[in-house]
Amino acid sequence: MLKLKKQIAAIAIALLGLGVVTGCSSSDNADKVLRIAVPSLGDAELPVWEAAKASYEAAHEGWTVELIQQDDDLYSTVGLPTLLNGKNSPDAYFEWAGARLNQRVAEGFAGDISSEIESSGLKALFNDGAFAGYDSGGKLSMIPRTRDVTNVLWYNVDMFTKNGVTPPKTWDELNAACAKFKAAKINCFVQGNKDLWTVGNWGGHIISRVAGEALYAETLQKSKPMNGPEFVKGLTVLADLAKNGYVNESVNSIADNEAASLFFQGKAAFHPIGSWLIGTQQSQAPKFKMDFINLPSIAGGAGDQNSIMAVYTGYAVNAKSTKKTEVMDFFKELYNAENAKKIAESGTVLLLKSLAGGALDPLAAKINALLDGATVVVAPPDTGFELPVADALNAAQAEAIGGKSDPQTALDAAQKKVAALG
Amino acid sequence: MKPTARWIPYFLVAPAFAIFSVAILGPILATFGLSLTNWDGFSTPSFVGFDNFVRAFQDEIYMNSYWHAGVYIAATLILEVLIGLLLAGLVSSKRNTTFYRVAFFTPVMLPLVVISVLWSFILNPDLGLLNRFLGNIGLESWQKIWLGDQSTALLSLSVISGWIFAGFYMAIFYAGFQRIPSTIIESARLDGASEWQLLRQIKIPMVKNLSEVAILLCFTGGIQVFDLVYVLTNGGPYDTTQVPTTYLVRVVFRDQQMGYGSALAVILTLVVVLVGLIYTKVRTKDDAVVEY
Repeated sequence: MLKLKKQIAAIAIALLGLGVVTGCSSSDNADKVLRIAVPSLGDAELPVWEAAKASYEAAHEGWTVELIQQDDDLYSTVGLPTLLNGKNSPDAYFEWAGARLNQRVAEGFAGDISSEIESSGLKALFNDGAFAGYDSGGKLSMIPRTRDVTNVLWYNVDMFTKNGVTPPKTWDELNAACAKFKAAKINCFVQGNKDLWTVGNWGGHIISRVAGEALYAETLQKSKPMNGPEFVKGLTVLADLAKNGYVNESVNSIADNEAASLFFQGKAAFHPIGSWLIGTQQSQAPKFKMDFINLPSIAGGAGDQNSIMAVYTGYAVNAKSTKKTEVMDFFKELYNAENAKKIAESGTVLLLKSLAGGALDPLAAKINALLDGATVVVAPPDTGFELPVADALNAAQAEAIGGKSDPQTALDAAQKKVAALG
Repeated sequence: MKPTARWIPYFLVAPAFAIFSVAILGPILATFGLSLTNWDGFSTPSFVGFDNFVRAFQDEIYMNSYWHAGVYIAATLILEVLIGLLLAGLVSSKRNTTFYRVAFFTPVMLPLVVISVLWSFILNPDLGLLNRFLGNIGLESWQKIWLGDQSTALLSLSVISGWIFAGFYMAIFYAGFQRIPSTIIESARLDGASEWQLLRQIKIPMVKNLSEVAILLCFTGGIQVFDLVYVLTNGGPYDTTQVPTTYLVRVVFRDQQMGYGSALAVILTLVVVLVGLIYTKVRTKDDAVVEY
């Protein structure tokens, strides 16, 4: 019996020893894995990341880079928080600046990276002013990626020429242009608002122009009621477009990609959406001629009439990661001049010095000029603020543009939802 | 036969109870526990008592979602069970109906997501087949934004559901009709009964139990409907096709309100259990039903 006990003890010690050894070695390996979480990179950009990963691994012996890609919708909702709270949480991850970044900082998943980005030399790769908007509480908390304009009015160049319409600069000119298109039996606007965020962005921009950026932000931060007179006035501007028959009747029943297809098929003069339409047009309708204007100025509006609606995206470095230096090194590799050029060719223009003065797609260059010249940047409801609050506003805008409710009633209902959130 | 030791029955039941606890009881209790908290899924939950339940009963979208589910169930009772019954009567009254039975049953075998995408092409307001067809035959005034109009969206979903599942109920009733002794059918025919009389006065009464099962299946399927609604309307327009499951998914996975979402799930579970109990209670055992 004693012999058996000794044998069991010996086996246990051996297993423990083996566990320690393998545990150490696996933990050693695990320590040399750099995990980076991103939403879907797309066919054009993925090879650039793969090349950067290969170069990094060749230059850093024993290290591997693990790219964690998720579907865009999943990533932006429950996907990223799940990854961050998992056992092997990412060392760096794609994120939107603004409310989402602040939330990550508050949760302890992002923090100040000023010293690391400076000492690694990564900072030197960026344009002057590229870091504006990437801070949380005044501390730089993200490696910048791009600034995307989320709402401009894309227009069909040939349709404008054929009907003798010039791009409008004021809201009155816009209404006049729409009246002309309507007379020619052409839909003025096509929009796909099945998922509510597209009109949410478009209408949010209009409301900010009418109510003023400060009131817009305060309202979406729940400091002011959503059904105040200025918001009603702003929403009325949007609702009037539909009331006059300038917006496709199917607006709330089709998705954003369906609306883009209709625009490319020449079914409407304008399509209000973000700068990513350039990439869609290049892949789906390369011969289609389009251009854009920023939202025309609205007479009597309290906001900056040249404001743009934009999102800033970048990569937060996990505050709990011990691999901040390695993260910086990887992004230096990814952001080298050759890779930056390839990423730019795929339609994403990084905020890097190496791309300055380069031959960009003319529309991408024009978008960049709009961003560079912007005096006021307005955050979209769904990425700049709490989602349930954004949902309430977006639903009200859908009701107003769909003609289900008048702006006051729609915003009263939205305010009721916001009040219930506490 | 008495067990030799008192612990033996407990020992024998233990494996099943362990599996039940882990797979069913545990999640139910955990969901109920979470429903009493304010939790985003990741940070530390804070206890809020029954606040989430109070909020749920004041949440118009959630309350209306039960009405939508009720309308959907009522419509599908007609479009699935009744049509299925009539189809079964039709195919059982003729010979060589294999083609029709397969044709009617085929939609049941297709994934719901595929069907949803297929119907989104048919009902697309701008380029869809249905509106084009109506336009081509001079019925422009009948053209609608089928899934984007609050007056037609829920009905459209019900019709699609009927198109899918009528074949399923047809298969159930057809199997029931096949079990009716041929002597009864032959006697009725000799007495001069028409096919309609056969169906109404002989076949349907003899599959009454199957009808009750079909109604229960239709109810449980209706209250759980998710993928069809999610893909085709995502609860819109204006939440007029929002059903409890789609709203639950929105609250939990989009808004990340796990505590509130758990409360909604608890209420949904209670509603389903309650309706099931009522249904069982009111369902009378009719001794007059011919057992065969």
